[in-house]
Amino acid sequence: MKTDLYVFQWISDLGGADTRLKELLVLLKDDFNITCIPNDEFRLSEKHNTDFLDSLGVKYCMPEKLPKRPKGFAYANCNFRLFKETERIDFINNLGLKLLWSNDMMWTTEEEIEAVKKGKVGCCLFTSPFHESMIGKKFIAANKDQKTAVLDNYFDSSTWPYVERPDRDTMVCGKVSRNDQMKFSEDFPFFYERAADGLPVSFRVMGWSNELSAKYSWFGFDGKWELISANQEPTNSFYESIDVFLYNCNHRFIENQSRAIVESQLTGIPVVAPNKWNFPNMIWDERTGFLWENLFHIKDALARLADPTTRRRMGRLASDCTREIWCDAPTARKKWDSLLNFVGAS
Amino acid sequence: MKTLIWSVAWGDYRYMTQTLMDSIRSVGINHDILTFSDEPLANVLSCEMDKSIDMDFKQYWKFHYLRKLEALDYDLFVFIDSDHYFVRKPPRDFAEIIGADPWHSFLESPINSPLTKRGDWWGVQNHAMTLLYRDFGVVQDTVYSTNGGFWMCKKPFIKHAAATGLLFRDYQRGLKLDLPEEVAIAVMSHLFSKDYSNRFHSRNMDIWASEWTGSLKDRLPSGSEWEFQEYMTNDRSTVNPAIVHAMRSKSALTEVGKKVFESTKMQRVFTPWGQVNNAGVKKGVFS
Repeated sequence: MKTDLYVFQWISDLGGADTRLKELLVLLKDDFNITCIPNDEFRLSEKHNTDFLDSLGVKYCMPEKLPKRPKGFAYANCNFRLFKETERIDFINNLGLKLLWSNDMMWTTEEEIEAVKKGKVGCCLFTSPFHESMIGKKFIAANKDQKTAVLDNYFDSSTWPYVERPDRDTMVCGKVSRNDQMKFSEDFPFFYERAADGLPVSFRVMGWSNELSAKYSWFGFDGKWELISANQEPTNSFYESIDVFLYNCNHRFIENQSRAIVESQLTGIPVVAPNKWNFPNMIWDERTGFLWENLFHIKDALARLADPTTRRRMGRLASDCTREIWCDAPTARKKWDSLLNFVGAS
Repeated sequence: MKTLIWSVAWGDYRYMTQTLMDSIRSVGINHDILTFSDEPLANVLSCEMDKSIDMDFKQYWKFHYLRKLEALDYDLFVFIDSDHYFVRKPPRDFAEIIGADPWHSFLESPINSPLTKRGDWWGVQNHAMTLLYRDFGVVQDTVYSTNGGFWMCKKPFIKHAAATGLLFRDYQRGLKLDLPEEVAIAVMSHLFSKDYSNRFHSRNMDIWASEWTGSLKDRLPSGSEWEFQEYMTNDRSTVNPAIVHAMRSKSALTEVGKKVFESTKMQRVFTPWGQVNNAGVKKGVFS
């Protein structure tokens, strides 16, 4: 008999958390009776999303349509409104459901900690040991009996097929993100220009905005730059258009488990990223991409990737390795089984 | 490139600024000069200090004044502290020194090099200072100190420069540090140079150097050679730059300035900022 899973969150194609949920639903659809409950009723009229849920056999409704005494578990990742609007977490608790809560961020909110303190969260999930090391202590400090577990991101293999990039006149370096200033360093255009100085490159960035244009208006973006807004292209098409993922973010931001890095690797892109945070667990230095300490290493990495044969070889290996680690559906399902046994036992 | 040289001074530093600005004119530099001070200066566009700007001890006020100047019709803004003195016209104009980058300060001395002898900058151990640079986004291998007394900013970059300077202030405060603005300026010269070697002081010794060891103690620089000591490496060399950061000549600079102040007592008046902002400089009447 399948376990019921009530997902208090909605899917979308924008942002790591909601896209992560889509692929999680693909993973769990055969093992659970899943119902998605959005925060706002208007989401139920998003036909492309309800079509997607229908295709998976996932049900959806507003909270008042749920059974009075459901069995099973509640789940949400990154839906902080559950805590900010306390009636939401109280509703889940009053239904008798244990909430599996995945924060996904490198920070916590006061309301979230308050809920943990009051025992309203069944289990706090982290996406990596690194993630746990960053915020786990806050949960335990709030409630020493709080259950916690590490549950990796899961990526649906078929969503991110490997693509052989064509020969191009220039090596296209780029990145994709939401249009958030935290995703761009203060010296963002100089970072890219310095890294690729002297190489035949062009730059493509998806996640641009008017605010970013204003912030970097002092820089003369020339013809080798193409800056497009978030989701202006389907993400797969964007990945297909770049040869190297040159990671960049603001110094105030700490990256946890960048989905963009895993997705891009799955499609065959070598990633160049700093040698810190969780990146060493995501990139095999000098084999599937490059981890850098300073500008010398970044320039060396791009110079080596300027050779199409090298970057194809690394991209292919990046795709294979990443697929093996992050798209392992049987292992991911086993982890969910273990998690539910752990949380269910009280 | 339409260039404005500017400074801010109060107390005895007003006299030094007078001497500095007269030295700039005497070597044949014709760029406009604007000062903010507590008493009017002669021979420059002299404005009263802006009472709304907090003159914090760590000198982040420089970024607030920079924002104020953004209203003026110039392409390049050259800040220079009071204790400087021009002995000749620099062999390259300010526009040439900053080049294609939006921001400039000379990167003086390496903080994390095998050549580095001094163990700290502003009381922060070199490894910790290097980490501070890194954590603020500096990626260059070797990182350098700078001097906050002489820097330049292009007009389109002013907003971002000031924002970044103040962001650094808040950042280091968050780490329980209390570093002055010149560390922010150093970090910015790494971040905002496509090739930061263009900012290396070692390649521009004929333009500017800081006399901090007393080679010219209590004397006005004369244009003759003097012994320069690099701050972090202790390396010594004989230099003769066009612009001397005469840190140990404050008394001489003050004396000269006081005499000019006395002789120009009747001429010196403040120009109201509103007039500078709305009418004066934009129409070029001060050029």
